[in-house]
Amino acid sequence: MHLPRHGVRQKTRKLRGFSLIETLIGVVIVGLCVLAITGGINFCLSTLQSSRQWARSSDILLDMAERLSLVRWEVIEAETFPKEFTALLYPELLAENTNQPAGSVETSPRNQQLRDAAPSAPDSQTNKVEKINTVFRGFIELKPFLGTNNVGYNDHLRHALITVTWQNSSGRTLTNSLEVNLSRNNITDFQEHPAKAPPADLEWTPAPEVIQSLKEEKE
Amino acid sequence: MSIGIIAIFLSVVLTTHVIAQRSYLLIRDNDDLARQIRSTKIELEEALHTADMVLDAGDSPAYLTLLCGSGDSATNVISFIHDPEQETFFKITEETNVTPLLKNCEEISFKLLQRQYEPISTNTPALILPALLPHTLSSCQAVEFHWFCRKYRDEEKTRPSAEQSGRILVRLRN
Repeated sequence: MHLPRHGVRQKTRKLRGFSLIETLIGVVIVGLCVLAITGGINFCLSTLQSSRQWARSSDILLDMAERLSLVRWEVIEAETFPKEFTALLYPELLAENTNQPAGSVETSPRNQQLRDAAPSAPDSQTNKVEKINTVFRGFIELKPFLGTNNVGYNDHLRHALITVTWQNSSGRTLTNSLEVNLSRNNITDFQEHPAKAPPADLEWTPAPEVIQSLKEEKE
Repeated sequence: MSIGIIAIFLSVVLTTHVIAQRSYLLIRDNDDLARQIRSTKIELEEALHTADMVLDAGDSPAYLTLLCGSGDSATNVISFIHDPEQETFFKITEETNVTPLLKNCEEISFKLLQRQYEPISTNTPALILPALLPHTLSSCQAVEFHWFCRKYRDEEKTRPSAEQSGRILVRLRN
């Protein structure tokens, strides 16, 4: 029986496995791919967390601007109000170093849930809460009005610069700020006024009743 | 030997696939919540900034009814209500126009506040506004809105994929 030589060679080639170097190169390529994918995922997640922090910082700034606009002009002029404040990424969660009421640590079910999920070492519980719950530290700076000096009402205006700083997951300190003008003859100049009353002919259905009737309709 | 290498390779690929899938879900759900919350805040701020007074409010379920407009033309009634069963936050205008604003919302609360008439002490931790006295809804001058929303990646609601919360203060028109 005669077998063609090149056929045998082809069969032998098919039976050959990978050499050690080929395998190592394959493992390195796969490893690099996995590293690139996980690195990309990590980057996406940290960007997501960062965008959450920036959005929350904007909320805190707007919140404080609204609070400032509701303070009497005398208080703004004398600057007798506290200018430092803290706020949390998750307001219902508490870090130990914030000025929130201490009693709510026990009453918040979400806080308890997080503490239950944390590892058993005593310090790690607090650390986990603080790690997740970014603390924003804020400061209010009042300055004279930055407009033209020709106007005669500069004393009736104040320029407020509200700043919040926080640390991101990599430990970098970030800052966001908002500038607002406060005016004496605006809503800060108010007197205690009597409670208002709605128009006598105004009729409306209470919101819970509207929702209840909608549910009944669906059923 | 080759089976071992293939098994390791497949497990690495599978793990990467699972991690990537979960991360995608997390990013998608977080983005969805952020989008809903952003539009809800815009709706609420718009209504409160044009509101003449608070007509009605409650804690369980959390709801707020506003009278918008000015003077005698203030006849536009807008309500916001949280339905804990559906975990949805609704906006109601003209009684029949019910718009869901925020889904997957577990907690919503409204805190009604008024202006600070007393001098503020420098020992106060922040610019805290006093809470309204009972039965004085029409004196409300600011509303603190708090939300907590959570999405799950399973139907049993045991494994959360995204959660967001926050608190803002919005003042009424006057």
